[in-house]
Amino acid sequence: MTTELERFRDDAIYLDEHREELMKKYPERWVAVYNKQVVADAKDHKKLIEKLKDKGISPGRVYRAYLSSKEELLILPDVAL
Amino acid sequence: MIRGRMLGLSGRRRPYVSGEIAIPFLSVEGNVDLLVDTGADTTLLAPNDAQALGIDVSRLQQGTRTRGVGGDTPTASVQAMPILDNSTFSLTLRILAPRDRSQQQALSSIPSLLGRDILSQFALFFEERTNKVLLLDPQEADALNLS
Repeated sequence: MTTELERFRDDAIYLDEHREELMKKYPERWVAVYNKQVVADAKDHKKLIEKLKDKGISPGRVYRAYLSSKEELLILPDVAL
Repeated sequence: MIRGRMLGLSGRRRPYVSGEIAIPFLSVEGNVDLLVDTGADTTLLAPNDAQALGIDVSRLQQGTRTRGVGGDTPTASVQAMPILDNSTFSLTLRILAPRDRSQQQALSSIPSLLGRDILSQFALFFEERTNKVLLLDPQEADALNLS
């Protein structure tokens, strides 16, 4: 596995393990995690991407998630027509 | 073997696999978390991930529409090389291309999907109790001697 991919996976695990505390700090917001640190947060995803670019961080390399305590049901069949 | 893990709030944890996706035509590379979706015909990039990777879907060939619970959505398609753990694939990646702002909004929380174009090459083992999400190679699956 590449180092970038390992780091990305570790950041995903970090966010998952700290989800409760991060949800309290960033409720109903998008956050970006890089090297196990929140490097940006924003109300919507587009603004998050802009903030990351302003900081010189490649958005495509950062783990991003929306932190919400609201339960959302995902049902995702995807059929090519 | 490709290893994933369960992520999310307690009681609603979902199986994900982290990947690196390269799109040579656009000179784009980046990381994406893919939700394992055995109901998805193909692997699919969500609008937010496309945005993060800097993909301009208007430069891409129009793909087939997709049908989901929320209705039909246009897609763009492009040749891509996803890397999952140490396995590299070559496939036509479809990217959701919402037709307007309201559809973009509706799809904003949709994750990218790991579909059966990749999953069909493996045996899928997932167990929430132990947080295990494994894609087993044919030899590994045969060694289980399940039949």
